[in-house]
Amino acid sequence: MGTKRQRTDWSGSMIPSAESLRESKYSSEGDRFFQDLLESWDNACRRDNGSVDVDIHLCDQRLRLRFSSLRLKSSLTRALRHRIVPTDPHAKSDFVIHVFDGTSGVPLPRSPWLRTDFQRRGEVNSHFTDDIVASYLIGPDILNIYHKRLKRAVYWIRNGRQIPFYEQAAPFRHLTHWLLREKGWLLVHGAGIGNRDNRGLLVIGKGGSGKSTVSIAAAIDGGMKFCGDDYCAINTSPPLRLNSVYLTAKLTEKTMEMLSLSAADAVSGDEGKRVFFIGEMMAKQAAESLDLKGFVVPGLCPAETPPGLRMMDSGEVARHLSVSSLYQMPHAGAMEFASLAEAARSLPGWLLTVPTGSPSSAVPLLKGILSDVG
Amino acid sequence: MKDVIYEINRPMVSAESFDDETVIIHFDTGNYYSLDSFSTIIWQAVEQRIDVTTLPDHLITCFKNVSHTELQGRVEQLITELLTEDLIRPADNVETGAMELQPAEGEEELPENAGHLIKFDDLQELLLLDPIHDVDEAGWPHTPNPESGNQS
Repeated sequence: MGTKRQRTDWSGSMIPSAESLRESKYSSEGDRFFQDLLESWDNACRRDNGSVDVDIHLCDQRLRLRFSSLRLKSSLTRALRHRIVPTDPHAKSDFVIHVFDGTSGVPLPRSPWLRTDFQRRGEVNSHFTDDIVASYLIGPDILNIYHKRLKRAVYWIRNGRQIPFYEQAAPFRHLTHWLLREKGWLLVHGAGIGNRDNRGLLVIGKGGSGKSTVSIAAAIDGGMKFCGDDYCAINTSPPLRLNSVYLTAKLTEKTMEMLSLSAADAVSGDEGKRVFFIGEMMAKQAAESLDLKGFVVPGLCPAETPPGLRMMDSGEVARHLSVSSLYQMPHAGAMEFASLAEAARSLPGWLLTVPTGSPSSAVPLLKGILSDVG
Repeated sequence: MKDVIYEINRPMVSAESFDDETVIIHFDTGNYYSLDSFSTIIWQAVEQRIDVTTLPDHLITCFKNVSHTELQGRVEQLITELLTEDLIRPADNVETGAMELQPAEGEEELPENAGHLIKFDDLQELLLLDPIHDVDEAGWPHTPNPESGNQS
């Protein structure tokens, strides 16, 4: 029996070969497809003189992002800049994400899925293996695929020259969700703010409810710490902590005007929204981690309405916390719902009345909550 | 009611109970729901595969100023709503669960509007509306407009 050839990528690093996977007891159609994907990524790297590697530290995990081009790296790491750590090729990574796009000229391998396997929430039903979890965002055409046993993932976007603004604001969020939940963390839809004592609040609610407006007002006018305006990570066992993942804010022109922000600092989006990379603008107020003390649901009201607070029942908090988070995360289900429900039971929640046109007037109430809670 | 034993429509449906409310999520439709404490008793009975026709006998000990007939009507109404929303289904296995409902803590007034399913559909846009789509020659979904897609 001859010696099996080890497959290496462009840099000489070993990647599992199709042959070894076929002969292993774990061999599956999913393994073979994943191997083909890794080889496509490797070919894309070779066409562009090798990969650009970036290491990030997130929720006590070291993730290595391996981009096939500098352009992809530039677009997809601005939101994560505060999480970047010095790249050490010898350091052991907990997870590796291989990133490439359709403009590399390297096609994706043929899809192993049927048309009907592509579901709502972007879920892809991998009926042929339990090792793989996948999603496909129709529109920008983004494939996220995670091989749980290999601890490797592949991210592919059809056109890496036109990455949508919302993807630049929160890149790899499906993969991040799958990787972190294995380690007891959940990616939740909410904005994180905190005080100097590292006490934090998660501002929750559906899109357009005022999460970004309130949290950015708290950071800019209130001098509070900022942990992200759309997605944060929380751990699933007490004491609850809030970790920043993406330091960005998606703001409307009206909010920008109210807070005296210049559009020149932002990436244009649709519906008049722009993405601000807060980690670059307000590094001092960026918080990597906060002790989570409660939940706040903003409610935008007419300008003449005074700001106010009302305590919410845990069920009401759970509705605001859970549903929009779970609907945005493919393959999230009862387990994640149970964890978020437990968080809602264990911490208080408030409905915050925010006068339209003067969101900063509600900031003292947020500070008051944090000074009152233990 | 044609069937009297139901089960939760898992895994598409998941629920969590709180002090005065049960929150139900339907992962396929994008709708979510709230049940009051009275309706939660009925939901828990479905979870335990209890014959729902026996519920009025239990509920009559929990509430005052309400007849057995009225309780029966409210149970039937809620079961119909849960079926309509695809949250429960007739049980495949008709083995009846053991009665483990919480004991009554004394009689209380039954609120006039108790026993309804409150439906929320404001987050449906977070799900892709149409899972049917075109695929390219390699079998990957593809739409001509790169700006569309699901986003918050």
